[in-house]
Amino acid sequence: MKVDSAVEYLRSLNYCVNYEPHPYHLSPEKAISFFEQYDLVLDCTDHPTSRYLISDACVLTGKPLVSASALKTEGQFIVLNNPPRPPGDVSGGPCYRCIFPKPPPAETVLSCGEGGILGPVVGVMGVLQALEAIKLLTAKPPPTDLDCAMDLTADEVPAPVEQARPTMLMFSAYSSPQFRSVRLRSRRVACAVCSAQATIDRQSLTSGSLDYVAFCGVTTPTNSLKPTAQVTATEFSQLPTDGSNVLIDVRDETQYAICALPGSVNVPWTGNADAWLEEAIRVGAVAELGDGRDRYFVCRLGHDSQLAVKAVMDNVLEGRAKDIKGGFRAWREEVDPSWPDY
Amino acid sequence: MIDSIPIAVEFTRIQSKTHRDSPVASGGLELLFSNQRKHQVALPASNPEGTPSTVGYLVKWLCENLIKDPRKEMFVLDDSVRPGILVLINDADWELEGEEKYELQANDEIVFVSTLHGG
Ligand SMILES: [Zn+2]
Repeated sequence: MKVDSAVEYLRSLNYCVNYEPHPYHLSPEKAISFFEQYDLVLDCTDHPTSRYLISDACVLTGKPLVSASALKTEGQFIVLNNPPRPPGDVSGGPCYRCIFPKPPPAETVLSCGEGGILGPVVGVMGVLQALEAIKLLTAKPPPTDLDCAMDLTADEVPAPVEQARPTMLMFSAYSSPQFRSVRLRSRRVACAVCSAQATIDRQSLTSGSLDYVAFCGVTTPTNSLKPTAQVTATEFSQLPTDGSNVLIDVRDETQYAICALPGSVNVPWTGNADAWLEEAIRVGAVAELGDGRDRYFVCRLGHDSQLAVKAVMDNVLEGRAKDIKGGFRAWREEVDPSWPDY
Repeated sequence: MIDSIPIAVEFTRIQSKTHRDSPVASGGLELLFSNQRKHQVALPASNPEGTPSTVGYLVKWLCENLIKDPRKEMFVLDDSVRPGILVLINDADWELEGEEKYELQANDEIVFVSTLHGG
């Protein structure tokens, strides 16, 4: 498990720290009792559902949250719920919902697995989180009334504690400057979890009544094709290679350069059916009036290839377009285990 | 009376899952804007109703004048900037400045930032 290898690696770096693996998915039911055992939380997850859950649980347990995210060559860093005042206290730091009250449409969310990530970018963001964690853990507690009374007799008047201003630090490896700090809003008056009008409380989490997956929406898997318009990878592998069919690979050029089947034609799916079809016809991958040959479509996972089949069926007089179900992932599983798993 | 105001507009890489099979080269919002991150635009100083141009008007204007792609919903949903995009006015969350009602000044810098979730 990822968590075990993380602990093993960290222990070899510094055995003085006490590491406790929690080898399960963080669920709303467990989050409260789990967070209560700690002084602060670092969010290193990769999906809006976990980001909302972690932020809500931090507000409800009064823990500051050090949040970082990264994708490709960019990263974002925010300290949330700092200071961690109770819901309704406007002097507390904003939570994730204050900044992002509505989740982004599911189809716009790109994970690192899909989008890719440059190792040193994650490193930069992780080091920023570690630094902030040390600062928060070693910060002096806010002065009490007694401290203030004692300070009056002291020679030096203590500098007023600087109120943490909510900011987001943005990192972009290829921009100049690479770092940019932007000012964020404070707590939202109508925030669903940290305001006086909050509708989410501990009970909403512990009872499991709050469905984070539904809140963030799920992308419905593309399944727009009739079964007759699809073949399995195995079926495709048994077709004759006598030129009676054409394989159109709709992945982008970079992926096509990593690995491709001999004889296939690369026409990257661009998201726009009309523009794609025009290009496919221009390069001769698709014949405008049909030429009696079957066209097979493939991509990495089998989503875009279905869209391409649909584009062809909707627009060209050609009933001979078929999708390879599950794309190259299925190809690897069913036909060729040596196919790169990227 | 000036009739246009210079505004710097920038889009940070806003991801779309339209190319969900493309882990390497999938497109960002800048694709919608001629594949360019930074734009200098000359925005009409007032909107058609004659009131000073606001950020809300800028968003509408960008959709009508700068987006070259039919997939506008990657940027605007239900007539406002879609959830998951943070709008910055001179490096501050636009909610600190009055959101779409903020009246634009010459040389203001407006940045549309996509939220990242990866970790
Ligand atoms: Zn909040």
